[in-house]
Amino acid sequence: MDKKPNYSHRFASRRGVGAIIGGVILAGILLTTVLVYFISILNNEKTRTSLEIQAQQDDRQKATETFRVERDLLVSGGNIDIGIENNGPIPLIASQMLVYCELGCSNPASQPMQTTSLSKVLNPGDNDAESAGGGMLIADNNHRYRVDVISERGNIVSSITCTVKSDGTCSEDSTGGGPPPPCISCAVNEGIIQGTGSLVLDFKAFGAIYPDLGSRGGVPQKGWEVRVSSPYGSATGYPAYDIPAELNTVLVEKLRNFDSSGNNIVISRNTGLVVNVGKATSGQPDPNYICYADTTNKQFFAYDESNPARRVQVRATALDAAPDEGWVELYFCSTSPHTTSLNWHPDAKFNNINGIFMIARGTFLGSGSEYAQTIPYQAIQVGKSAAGNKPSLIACLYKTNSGTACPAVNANDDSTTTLIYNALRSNMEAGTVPGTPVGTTYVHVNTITTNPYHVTWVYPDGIFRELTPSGGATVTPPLQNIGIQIPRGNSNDTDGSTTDIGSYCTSQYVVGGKVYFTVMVEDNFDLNSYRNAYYMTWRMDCS
Amino acid sequence: MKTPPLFIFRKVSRKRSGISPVIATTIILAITIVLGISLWSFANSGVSTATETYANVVEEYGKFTSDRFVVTSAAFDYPNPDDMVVWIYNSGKFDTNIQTVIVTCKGTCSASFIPLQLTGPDLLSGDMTIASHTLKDLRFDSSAKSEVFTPGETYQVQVVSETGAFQTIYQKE
Repeated sequence: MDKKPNYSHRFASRRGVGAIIGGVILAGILLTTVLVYFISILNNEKTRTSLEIQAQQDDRQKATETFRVERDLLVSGGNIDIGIENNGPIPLIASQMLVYCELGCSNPASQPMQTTSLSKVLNPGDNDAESAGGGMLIADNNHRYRVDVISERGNIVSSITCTVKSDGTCSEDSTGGGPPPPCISCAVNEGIIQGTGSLVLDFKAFGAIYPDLGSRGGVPQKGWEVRVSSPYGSATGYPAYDIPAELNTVLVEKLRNFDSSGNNIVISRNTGLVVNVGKATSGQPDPNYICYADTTNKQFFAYDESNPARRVQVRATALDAAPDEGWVELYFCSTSPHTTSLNWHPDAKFNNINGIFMIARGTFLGSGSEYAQTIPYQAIQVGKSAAGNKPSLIACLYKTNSGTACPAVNANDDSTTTLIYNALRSNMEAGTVPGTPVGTTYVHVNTITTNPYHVTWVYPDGIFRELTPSGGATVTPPLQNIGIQIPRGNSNDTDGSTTDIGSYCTSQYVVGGKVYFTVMVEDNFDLNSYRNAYYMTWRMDCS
Repeated sequence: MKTPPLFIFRKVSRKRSGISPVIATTIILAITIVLGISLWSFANSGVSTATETYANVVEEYGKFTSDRFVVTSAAFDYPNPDDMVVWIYNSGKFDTNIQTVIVTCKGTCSASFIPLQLTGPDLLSGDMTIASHTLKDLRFDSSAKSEVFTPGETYQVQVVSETGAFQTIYQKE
């Protein structure tokens, strides 16, 4: 039989291969296309999700942002000052300020009479001031104004209104106005902190400035005057627990405002220190009222709460604020409110101990309600009565045992090259003060009052050590000097180091790269247990 | 078995010799590739259109979510009778283009007052674009709208931007 050729088998094989190749290619194309589609969709979804997250974040930040706008109590020069305080947890930017005339103006109340672009970055807790009104505000009892502030996130906060009386004050701040009633519980609640109220004092900063600020000395003090170190900043003045008698003296204190209402407090002129308590029935010391200190120009002015340039505003501080936040200095210098002409001076009417109460009065800036607080205080000890309004005991620090008389008390510490009131940290630790290793510094007393003398070194942590031998040092003519060694170690001698005085170069004690110590010179007690005291500041430069 | 005539094989033999298997395979492959490219082009075109449309939607959505502004105030019959001013602060990161301002009476005139729709041509001056983080007042002349603002009445002012975002305030005349 003849064998037939198998044509069908050959043709079928070729068709099969072509279909497989074609199928694979087509499948690849389709899969690639679908893949590209899904990748594109995924990318767009990703973009959409990020936009939604961004929008949610913006919404959340806008909702979280909180700030307050406080207006001043007084319209002056056609303007009213406002304070913008970020009392929220996130920073904000105050972007616009709008002033409305709600009443008494010809234009609509809803028309901003002034719009001002701002660019104030406020971190949480920050408070910044701004002047509003553009000089156009009218004080005539008929015009009512409001200030709005818009943040960059779009939040709008309004101040309480001010219907300006002819004297420039706002009628809302007096009785019967619009502000909310006083926070009756505020002082009680915050009283737990200090026992008496919302104003909290920095007792470690309590000091006294001497002598005769304004006419002789200045702020800040140098050399002859004394600076008291504080963990919360630099207070100027003597440690006020023992101050010279009968000399014009300014007592200094620092405080901050923890009132839970969150309102700033403007201290009023009747704030003062009361020292006329005690057994004596006559000749009691006058109260010491607050003055305004211009620390830039080194002057004191009569305190005037109606003048923004002559008053102290204690801004609200959160309970969990940083230890160095919100403190303001108060200066007490006058025996009469709203004056500086009647200088206050301490005298020893109560057997050398004068108890002090601070009577703090003020006005809440936000609500206009009144605030008052009585703060029991530490006592001061007053030195012997001086003659001729000058201290009986004048001392200074010299590099050499020269016997040179101390210059006038208002001279600067660098008025004579032989004076020494400061040293580098490295030199103090090495004991090369004033020069040679374990060098001797000399306390000179101008007039020998009562031997023996005691020289005490006060560390910024309040601990002190006597630099003179036990029983004191005797001063004799003609040199009238007491040799001392400036301490090389800190107040803790049990830590195994006696050359670690540089350990005070920490943020707790450093003010502008410097740490301040006090050198106290006292003479002997007299028969009435009175003694003279004189204070000086020693400065350590940390670098 | 009877074999076919020889001329038949000759005929078959002539037909098969007209196109070689290589050429045939090439033609088939070419057709496949052309068809494949056509199919890919068609599919890609469709996918591109779909993805581009979706991308545009997402972009518009992004503009909408980032379009942020607040209406701070509005004044009626100011600066002239039948004029109206709206103060708007753009709190967003980009410019805001206001499309329209719709004023509706919410007081006793709500039944008689025909809502006003104020747009760019109604502006007394300037344009409807507000730069980022700026405050702008849009001043409209609404005298042609045959509606008057009545003192003491409360009006709703709704500001609508180009992206569809809107803000509303109520203002007493």
